[in-house]
Amino acid sequence: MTVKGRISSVNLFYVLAQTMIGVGLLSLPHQTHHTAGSDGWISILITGFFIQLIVLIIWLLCRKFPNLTLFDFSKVIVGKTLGTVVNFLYIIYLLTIICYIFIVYTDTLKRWILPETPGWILLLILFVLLIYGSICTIKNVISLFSFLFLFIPLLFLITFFVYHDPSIDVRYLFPIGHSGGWNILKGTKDTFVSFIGYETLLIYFAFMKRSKSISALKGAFFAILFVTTFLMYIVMISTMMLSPEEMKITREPVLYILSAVEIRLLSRLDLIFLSFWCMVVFATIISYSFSASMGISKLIRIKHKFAVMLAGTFVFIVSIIFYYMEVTLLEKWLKHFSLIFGVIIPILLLFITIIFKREAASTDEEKEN
Amino acid sequence: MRLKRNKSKKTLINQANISLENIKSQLNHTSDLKEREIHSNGQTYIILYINSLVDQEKLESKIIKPLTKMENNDILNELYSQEISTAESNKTATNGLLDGYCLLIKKDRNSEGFLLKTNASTHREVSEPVVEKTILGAKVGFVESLDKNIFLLRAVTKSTDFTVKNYTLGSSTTTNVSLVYLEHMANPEIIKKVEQRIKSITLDSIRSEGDIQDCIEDHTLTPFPQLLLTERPDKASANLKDGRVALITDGSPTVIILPATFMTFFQTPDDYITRWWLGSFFRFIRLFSYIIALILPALYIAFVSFHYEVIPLELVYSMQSSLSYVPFRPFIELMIMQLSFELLREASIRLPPSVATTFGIVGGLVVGTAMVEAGIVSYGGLIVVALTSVSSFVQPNIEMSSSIRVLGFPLMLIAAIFGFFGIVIGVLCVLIHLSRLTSFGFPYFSPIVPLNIKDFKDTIIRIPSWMMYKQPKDSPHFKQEKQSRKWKLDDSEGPY
Repeated sequence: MTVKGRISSVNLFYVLAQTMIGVGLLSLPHQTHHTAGSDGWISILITGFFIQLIVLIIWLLCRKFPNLTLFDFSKVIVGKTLGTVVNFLYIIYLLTIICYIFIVYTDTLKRWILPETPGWILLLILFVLLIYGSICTIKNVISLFSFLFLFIPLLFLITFFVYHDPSIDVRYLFPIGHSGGWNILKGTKDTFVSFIGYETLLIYFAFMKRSKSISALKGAFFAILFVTTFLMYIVMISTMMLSPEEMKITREPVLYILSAVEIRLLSRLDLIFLSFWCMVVFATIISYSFSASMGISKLIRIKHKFAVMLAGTFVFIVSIIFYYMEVTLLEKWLKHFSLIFGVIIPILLLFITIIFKREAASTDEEKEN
Repeated sequence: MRLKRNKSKKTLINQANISLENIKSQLNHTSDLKEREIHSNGQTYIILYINSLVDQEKLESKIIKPLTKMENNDILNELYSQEISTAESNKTATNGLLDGYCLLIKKDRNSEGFLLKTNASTHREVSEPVVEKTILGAKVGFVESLDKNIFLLRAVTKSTDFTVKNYTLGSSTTTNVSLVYLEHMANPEIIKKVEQRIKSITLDSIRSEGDIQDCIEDHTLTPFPQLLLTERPDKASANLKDGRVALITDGSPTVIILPATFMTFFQTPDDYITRWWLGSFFRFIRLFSYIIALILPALYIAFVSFHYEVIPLELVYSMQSSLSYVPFRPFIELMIMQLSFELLREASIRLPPSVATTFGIVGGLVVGTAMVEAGIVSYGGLIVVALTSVSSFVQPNIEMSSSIRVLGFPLMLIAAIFGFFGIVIGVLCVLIHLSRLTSFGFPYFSPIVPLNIKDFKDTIIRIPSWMMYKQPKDSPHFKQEKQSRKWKLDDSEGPY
């Protein structure tokens, strides 16, 4: 089943940046500080570079199968049965990510804004948003993303207020590299999770107008560059603002530094920001759930509408279970999963494609014509 | 099925085949159906017409008088009616009679029938539009006559591209509708869509242009209007020049413009008359006031009942002093105020203008102040509701401002439950909804979703007209040379 090309490389930029920047950003400086200390931003830079390479691999893979998503070309590469298994695993992986976002965002909301609201109600709201947002065409998703992207520069603008604060100190960043090369490299393992989302390229490349040309890669390349710079900036500003001791105990450093900001009209910027961040988190959720439901509808041959409902219900139930059992297991799993599904499987698929010379049937027809 | 004027005389005579009795019985022998016999030049003619639809003087001077003085029997050359056509069948003859034509038949052969236009027009004179007022724009508004409206539109749109297509809608009572567009400007796909949708209307009768609107709009379950209604020929003409299509209904002074995007509802003809940065500023104010009217009550509820730590401390104290006498929750307080304001608004629409002023003072000022003093609402709540209503009146389009009313109450409710987070959720839902709307296949929230910053130049802001030479997405055939200010280059002196 081929899909029609609808996305330009600019659209791909929006979609990818939106998918990658999500809820993880709020706690990212805390996590990088854990292993890499004040050199967390170097870890991010290295990870960003590494991700670029993987995106190149994914592009090389998808290039062989124009207008086919992962859910279609996996069957071509590893055979029908194994392909179905791969598809199933990818769907589970995407749904796990959504569960993780649900839980982390609900948890943050509960601790910062709505302490008395029961967690399941917040999860229910996210569930309704997921269903409402995902039952549409890919055109709708993409056009909405191009607008929601505006909220990411908004955060960038808000951080300018932080410079007003007297406690900001550039010297927290120095000496550069004092945590040691090995620790910085080890830090990349923690930062890798905040980059997940690029795997959706396996699906979105199929919708590109000219997926074979280098311009397709360009959109993805700039998106990763943007995300890397943005995350680096956030980590740097948090490191400058908070002392190493504070960093250890604050779970959401980004919100914490915003709460210190006081403008004449608004006293608590963090509360307003966290609410607005819902728009960005929503975009991430939609991107994943749309891809996952596409997979589900192809796997068990149901309409997209029902696939979304199925995915939403699954996510809702699983996240409620994990939320109330206070299991931090999901985060640990995700760290391993992201390596397997984001790096190992695409590389394996590419190798098989090259060695066994797998090609999509549709491309042969095109050549003959 | 309007009658087409045949050019060749031969076909005109040969095709006739009608019977008077049949027509009369089709019109149920209605009392105002008159028949007159006229003898002239050895022939007997019968004139059939509906008395109430025909202008007696026209009939007398243009049909009957020339007919009696006729020297040869060539009707087409001797009579000077505005429009002469042949009655091809009984059906066309009756339709013509209902449109105000009179039917002329030679008695001896009883087969030749001509329809001659003698309709009476009792339409009012062109006057200034009442609802859409402008400061500097033209003072001409559409009237209730289809022909006159097309005339008004043509007068300000002189072009060979100007195309009119007529349709007759309704199965038991008929209404004439005209589709107007500029041939090389309008998108052919949209014209095709409009034609297809108009043809599929099978309503029994058309009460107003609202019936047509219901049948042709893309989405029915939405508070947002997808068709622009206007009573100003200059606005309609400007939209035609932008490549849009106008739909004129007989008997209605309101013209439907389509496809309309969200931003077209914030434009007024004044924007293009004042200088460009003023126009941009006013447009921005309108957009801003739309957002204010939509979320200010919800923001008030969220701030007062959830996030009082967000507003500065001094403001908290002053609001607290008035709020502490109010026994209701902020949501109930605002609901009372909003509902009473809706009552005022609804009541003042049908009042004569002289009473409306008094009513405004009593209803707005006296009741508002008394409510605060009685401790039913706080000063903060009163200010919010007053600002909201003022903002909603800023909107140039009535239908767009009524979408605020529909969306405002749910937003207030969700703000009362979840605070600021709830507002964001609500606004997000509205955004998702907006991003999926289309108007005749064209994205409704267009330059914003999908984001296209280049198209902001004539939507959110208005750049000078000589700078608009790049094609906007919604009118593919727009072209303009960028030479209008070339004189500046020739004129300017160097610094030395």
